[in-house]
Amino acid sequence: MEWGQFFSEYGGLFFGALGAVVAVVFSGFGSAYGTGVTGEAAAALTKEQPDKFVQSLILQLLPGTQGLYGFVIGFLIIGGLSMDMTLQQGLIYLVAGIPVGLVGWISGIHQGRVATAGLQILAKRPENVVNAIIYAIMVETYAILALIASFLLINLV
Amino acid sequence: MAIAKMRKLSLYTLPAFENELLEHIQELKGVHIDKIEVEETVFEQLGEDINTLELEQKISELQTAQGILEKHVPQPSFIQKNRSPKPTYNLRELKEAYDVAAVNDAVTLVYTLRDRLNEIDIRLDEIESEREDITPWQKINVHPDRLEKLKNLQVLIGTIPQATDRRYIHALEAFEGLEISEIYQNQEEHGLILALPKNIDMKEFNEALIESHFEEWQYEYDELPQEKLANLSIEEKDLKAEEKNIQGSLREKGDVLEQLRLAEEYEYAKLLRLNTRSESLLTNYLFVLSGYMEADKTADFSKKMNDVLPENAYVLEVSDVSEADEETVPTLLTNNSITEPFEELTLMYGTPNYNELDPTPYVMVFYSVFYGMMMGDLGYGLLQWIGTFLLLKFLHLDDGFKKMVKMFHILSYPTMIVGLIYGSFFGVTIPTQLVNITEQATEVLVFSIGLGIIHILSGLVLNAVNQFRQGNPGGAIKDGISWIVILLGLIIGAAGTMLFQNEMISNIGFGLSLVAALVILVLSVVLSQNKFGGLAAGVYDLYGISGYIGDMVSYSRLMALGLSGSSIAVAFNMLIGMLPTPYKFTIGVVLIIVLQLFNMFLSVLSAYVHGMRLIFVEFFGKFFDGTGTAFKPLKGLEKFINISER
Repeated sequence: MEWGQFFSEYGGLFFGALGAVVAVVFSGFGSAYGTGVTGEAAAALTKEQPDKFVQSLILQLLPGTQGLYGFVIGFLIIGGLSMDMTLQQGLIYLVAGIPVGLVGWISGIHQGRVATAGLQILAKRPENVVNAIIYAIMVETYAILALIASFLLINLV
Repeated sequence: MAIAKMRKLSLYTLPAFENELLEHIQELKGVHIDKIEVEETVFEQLGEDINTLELEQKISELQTAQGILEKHVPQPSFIQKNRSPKPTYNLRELKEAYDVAAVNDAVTLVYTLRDRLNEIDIRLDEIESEREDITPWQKINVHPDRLEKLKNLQVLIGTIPQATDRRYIHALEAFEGLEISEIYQNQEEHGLILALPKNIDMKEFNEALIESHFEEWQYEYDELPQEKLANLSIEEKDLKAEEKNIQGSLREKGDVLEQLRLAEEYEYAKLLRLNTRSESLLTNYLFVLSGYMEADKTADFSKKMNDVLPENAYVLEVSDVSEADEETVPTLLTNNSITEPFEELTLMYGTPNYNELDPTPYVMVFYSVFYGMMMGDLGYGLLQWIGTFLLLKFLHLDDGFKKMVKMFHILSYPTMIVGLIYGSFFGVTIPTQLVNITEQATEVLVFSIGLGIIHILSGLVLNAVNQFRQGNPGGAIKDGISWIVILLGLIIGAAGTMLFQNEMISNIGFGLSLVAALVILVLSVVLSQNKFGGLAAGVYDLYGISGYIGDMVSYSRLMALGLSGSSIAVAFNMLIGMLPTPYKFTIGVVLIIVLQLFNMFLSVLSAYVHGMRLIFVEFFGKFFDGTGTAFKPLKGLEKFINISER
């Protein structure tokens, strides 16, 4: 089968699936990094102060949501895939995957760094741990906006 | 539903009654002690230099001893611990409840046992390293010292490194007249005994030793290596038996632990009483205490003082809070039982000033709606309801934790209601569905932002109310009302253009906004000393409109988190649904429970923190600065017991 023929027949499906991949993979990168760095620091803190496990777990989980947002978009895209999709539909899915994928990637990394820094608040002034949480979810706002943008784009198909 | 009205107390009595009086106040838990400012020249203040160091030391010893015991005494589980309420004592009973001498002895004993355990630990480590050192040499059946004393032979015992080409051992073998006997070899080294006649050239021999990296083995015991190993084993066994013995006796000391806790409670209460001396006034002839108390409790308080102190021995003065005092009056939030648990959210941000509004009722309403929208599942709501209900029903929780559980209990209702509206039960669509969040996401988004606008407007209303109450009508108009008019005007204007296509409506709307913006500028100039600076501040204020747009967009998370939670639940259900039938009803059941609980946990966490963000940033940011003083009555530690009135 020629490339041209392949794309004219399955292009929609191909690009649609690619959209799901972009959404899940890149936001997953961000969350994996974010929860990773925070997890390392949280382990170091819990070694000294084991009673702070639950609170440090909350901080570690905060940068984990980007991956979930990406998964939601990926899931919705996959639900909309079919063999007879047009190329145009597939390309919209691809574009729809980009906001949550890329913003999730970058914001996951930065949210992880804020959460890691927030562990200092947890270590020294545990009564103010909410401040650390608020700082961290400031970053998440942009991942949420990207999730909404991605979602609205999917609805164009 | 508001901030509790306070009255000011002043108590004058004789120094002899100081302790008794403070004990009563401690048991009542209702008086916030306020510092008395006096000019030092007038009175000779006693007790300023009171040394609490000794008492603090004692408390810290009690805590350390408890810590040691807690490591050994089996601790009850969370459920066991909270099945029954904490015991209740008044301070007099508390003093009788434990034996001071016995507690002191117990502390000493626990310290001694801990020290002995540490010694044993150290010695056990030493034994281990001695054994490692000696074990390879156990084949030597002559004491090394005896070998060294031989008349005609020079004997050296030691190791050389292992090498694949055996180059180190070759270096020795090449040395003429040297007798080498190998005791052991392992991956790192050879253990050797070297013997050579005493008349040989030592300089050359030393070079050979250096070349082969020979390291002499130091043996400093009287016994033969084998005997030493046997002795070490015996010593180790004895030490381990002793260790076990001590641990066993520490494990039995559960009742001592209880005594130590009571002692800590008593001594801590004493420390808190002594600490009030820096706030009160104590001279040779007079003791004066000043503080605040909830207005409706003062009558009861003065009656109780009458029971405690002889009638002629004290003067109690209860007065209304004057305006001059308003800065220092502490704030106590009082709300009905549904709103009360949400006080924690308000206090996390800050304490309102005494003359401010208590925002908690508004927090309760909005936070509940937000939380419900972000959870949006009947099943999760039910689980949350059951879990929190069981905790509240069957356990006696500490106040702070109980409030939190109660808050989540209340929040389970909006979760279930929104779950019904969204028609979602653990991600499965149910027929109550009014709104399909996946297909009608745009509508939910518009609703979320609409809710956000209402939230922001309420924040501005509260700003105006607060500033009016604080006697600052100019500020109320500038920071509160004008902004409300600007926002409403913009909404009317936008609606006129887009919904009604009516130019007049939109002109009225935009016109209103413009007028309100001018009011802000004019008031900024009028209200400030420096007119030009005021104008600049006003312009900067207006620039804040961009912030409002950001605030409104922020509420889109209400839709986004609801959507994401329900999509993940649907995805999990679908995954398990794809399993072949035999797996679906075995491992699939376990998996779906784990996955759904995981999703619920994440949804609760997201809804909790994102709801808080909307309250703190978008709402409190408009009117609440939280710089008040929290009402902190004099009371006890109350970690292990409750202190009651006698």
